[in-house]
Formats: sequence, structure tokens, C-alpha cells
Amino acid sequence: MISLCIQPRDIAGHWRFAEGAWRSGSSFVAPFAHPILQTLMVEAPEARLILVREDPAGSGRGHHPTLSADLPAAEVLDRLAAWPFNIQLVVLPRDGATVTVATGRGATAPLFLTSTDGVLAADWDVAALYPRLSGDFDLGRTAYALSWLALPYGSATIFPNVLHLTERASVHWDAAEGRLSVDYPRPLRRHVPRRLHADADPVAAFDKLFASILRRAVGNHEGAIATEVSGGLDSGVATLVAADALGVARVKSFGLLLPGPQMPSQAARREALTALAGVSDTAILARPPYSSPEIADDPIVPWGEYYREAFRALGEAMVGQGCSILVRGIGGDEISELTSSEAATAPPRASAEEEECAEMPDYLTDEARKAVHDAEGRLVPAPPAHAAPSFYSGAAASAPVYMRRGIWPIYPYGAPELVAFCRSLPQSWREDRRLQRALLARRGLPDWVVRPDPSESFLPLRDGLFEPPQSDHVRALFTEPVLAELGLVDGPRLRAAFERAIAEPEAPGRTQIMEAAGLETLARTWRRPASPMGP
Amino acid sequence: MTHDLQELARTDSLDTAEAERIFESPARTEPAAANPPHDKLAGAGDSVRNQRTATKAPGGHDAAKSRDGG
Repeated sequence: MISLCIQPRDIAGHWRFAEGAWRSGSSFVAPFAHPILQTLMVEAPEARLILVREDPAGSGRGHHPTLSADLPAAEVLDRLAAWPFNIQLVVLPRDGATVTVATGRGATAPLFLTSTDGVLAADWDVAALYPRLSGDFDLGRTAYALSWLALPYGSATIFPNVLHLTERASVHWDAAEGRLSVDYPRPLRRHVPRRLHADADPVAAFDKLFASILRRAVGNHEGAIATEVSGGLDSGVATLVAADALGVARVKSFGLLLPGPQMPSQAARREALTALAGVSDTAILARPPYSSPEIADDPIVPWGEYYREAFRALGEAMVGQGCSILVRGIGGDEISELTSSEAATAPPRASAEEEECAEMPDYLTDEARKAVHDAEGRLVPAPPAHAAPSFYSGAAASAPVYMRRGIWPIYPYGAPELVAFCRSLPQSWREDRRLQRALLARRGLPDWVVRPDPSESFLPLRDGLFEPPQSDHVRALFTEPVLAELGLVDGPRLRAAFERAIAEPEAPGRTQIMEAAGLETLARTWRRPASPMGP
Repeated sequence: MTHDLQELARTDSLDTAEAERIFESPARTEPAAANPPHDKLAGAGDSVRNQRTATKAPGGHDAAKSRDGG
């Protein structure tokens, strides 16, 4: 939620707020422009701290004060970073030596940082850094992503010189050397299951806690609130609770209708949920990847949302109806996690998704395959946090989709209090998503909503990539792939795999090919800038 | 700290007392297993690509997941 560019000579200079950013010389620290965010500066004896944070109370709206502290900057940083919402801080030492950029426990709109040509640059949208990058990909990490679709949640990215500021982490920039280093936080302990009182009502407790979290997150923000309704459990719960907690008149639901035979049942579930919530609803027919050449101005984020066309349309619909805050449903899977020992006793789950990426794709070069194994040994994951790593990765994946349209996403399922509550529940309440199903059933929804069969899936949308005209774009994209020039893939084998995926729709590997198409598109924006969407 | 800064750092914790009342005992925690050094991801069935993480658990992942109807 910050964009910054810092030159060494400006670090110890006179910082003041002007034209939407803190500025010193040609350097700036700019908050993401949204009324729920607050920014200010703290003058400590040996450093200045610029902070940007979620401020649901709205106490600092329109003001950019400078406060003074008589404590060491490190202590000020520790106290401020304990903020229960998103917060990012930039520590500017008066000796100009080492800049620290830190974040708190929110971390759902993370920063990406790079040091190039003696300048520190960081942005919530990694695409803003692309002009500063040389177009290089880390061979091992990119091959890892081509195989397993994304890196583990941690500071490393597929770009050699770009770091991801993960939950509670700090990045230090040695201004003289132009070197970045990461400090991960201490690992957090995990809440464990407890016994319930005989008359306990976990559903009511969950409902009230969820509502409290939503009211706290929205605070005094005025205006319409968007929710996503997929037709599934998590977004359905979020919408029902939001309508009650925030006021039905201001909550508007939005959702993508996914192609395929499941669409009628998905649409029916959405209608049942939104009708019960009493909210106005907008359904948008999802368009498959590579169906809209006009989104070339929406640059690819390698770890971002695959379905850019669909989610862009969703975000635009939200903006069109005056929504600048979005309540998201991601994290609902994670609150239902079973521990390893619990999972050993639970019924086995269908493994179709696992089969999708069971093997490295055969179009990786031998060099790339070896590099994957090397990368695996070097990747350092972020330590255990309040929520599961997949929650933070998911938030990072979708943040640009919405923030590029001025929408601030909030994540009730990632609130530490809710995660701790759910992890404390006995296994029987987490297994098979009983908690969410019970809440929906108590609200009066029928079994075909409570237990979707089949549940909505984005796979038919993905499969649109393998049908004309989208497949024509991808086929042309793979004709002379930049990924081959980079030593990542064997061009003929990639093309053969693509044609095989078209001929054999049920065979695994389609998602890996979608990943390759995205990375190829991004690589072309750098290596062949005249053709951002394809040849 | 000055009064202003104290006010700035003040965090009103969420009232979880009512939620806590359903449990027989106080909250307990244990050291969490380290996140895996590498983690193969699953398919594209969910709306957010990385929401799929952790369905596979090489390297001793701390938790398995159930998922449907996101």
C-alpha cells in the first residue's frame, strides 16, 4: 500500500508531505490513495519513520501530521508495527546509511522491493517496478513456478532482484552498497483444539466474532461495501454476516458465473444466498484467459490472478456501483485446516488437483529441471504466522486485481482472532467445513446450497484457454517462445504439450501450460515490447 | 513517547470473551511446524491461484486442508 523511490542523498534530507506523498529531494514515499488509509511521520532521535496503515476509525483522514518521539526508532517501530490491521513503515536514518521497510501482521497488500542503479524502489504493484528490472528471471525459481505454479510464501520472487515483504518481516537497504536483506520475524505459536462446554454453540460464537471483525475492519468508512459471492461456503457466509453487521442497504454482492454444466446450479446457489442476505447482486459471465486483447494495459503479475479478464470485469462492476471496499472470502479453506495428525484420521480427499501438478512438465529443459532442484534447496519460507501461508499468498495474488481499480480488499477470514478461534475448535467442527455449513443451514438455506454438488470450479474457465480463439493466441505465443531463449523450456516440446492438452482435455498439465502462457506473455513485454498480448 | 504517539500506538483488541466462553479451558498454543521449504501447488479450481497452496504437503507441512465451495 506504498509506492516509494529513495535516493541515498535524500534519506537524511527534509521530508515533508506534498502532492500525495512524503518527499525529500527527488525521493518519495506515496501511500495508496484510499480513504481507509492513514499516513504520518514520526520524528525519533536517530531516524524518521513514515507509516501508512489501515485506519478504519478514520481519525487521521485528510491529515498528514508529523509527531515526535523520545524513544529509539527501533522501539517506536516495534510499538507501531503491532497495529492490528495492515501497516507498512519506512525508517529513514538521519545518518543516511540503512533504510528499513517493515510491515505488520496484516500483510494483505504486500510491498515488493528492488534496488537498482543505486535507488531503492518499492510498490504494492510489482508491475510498477518492471521498468527498473532488466527483464531477467531467476532460472530455478521461474522453472519452479512453471512446475508447481508459484513459490512458497517467502521473500523470494521469480525476479532475481525483487523481494516480497512478507508478514511482519523487515527489509533493509544498505544505501551505499545498494544491497537488500531480509529479516523474518519470530515464528508464532499455533492455537490447538480445546474441548467445548456441553451447551456450547460454536456457530453463534463464530457468527458474532465474524461480525465484530467486519465492523472493526470497516469502522467509520462510509459508502457501499462489495462482497464476492461465488456460490460457495466462505463467500456466502461472509456476505450473510456482512449484510447483518454492516447494514444490508450498503452491501452489494458481485460474482462471476463460471462456464460449463455447473453454471445453472452455481447461479441458483448465488441467487439463494443473495436473496437471503437481501443484498443487490451483480452476476458477470466470466470470460476465459486470453479472450480480451484490450487488457494488455493490465500487466501480468507472475504470482497473480490467472483469470485477469474475469476479475477485471468484476472489479470494474464494483467500482461502477460505488464500492471502494471489498469483503473477501479467501482464507475460509484455511480456517478449516486439520492438523497433520487429524488429517491422518480424516477421510481422504479427491486428488484431482494434486494430479494436475504431479510431475514437472516435460517441456522444461534439462538445465531448468536441475535448477528447480537447486532452487528448492535455497528457498527460505516465511515463518509460521497468525494465518496459514496460503492465505497471505492468496491475498498477494489478488491485491493488484482490485487495488489497480481503487478497491481496498479486507479479509475477515485472515483475522488472527478468527483463525485462533477456529483452530481451537475440535476437529469435528473443522472437518468437512462443518462450521460454515452449519451457519448457512441455521440461516435457513437448503441442503443444495449448504453442500454444493458440484461446487463451483474455475477449471472450465481455464479450459477456455484451449479453445479458439484463445487457443490461437496461445499457439502463436508459443511459436517462438522467449521462455526458450531464456533456457527455461524446449520450444517444440512446449508446443507439443499444448497441442496434446487440446487433444486430451482430461490429461493433467493444463494449468502448467496456463502458467507458461502467463510467464511467456510477461517475458514478451520485456523482450519484445511491441507485442504485450501475444504475437 | 509523547501523548500523540501513545495514542497512535494504542490498539483496541477485539473482544473475544464471548467466543472464548464456549471452551472448557483457556487458549493453548504449541510451536507451529515450520512452513515447508518447498511446496507443490495444486490445480486451478479456486478463484485465487495461490489459495490452492498447501493442498500438497511435501516436507512435513503443518496442516492438510479440506476445500470446496470457496
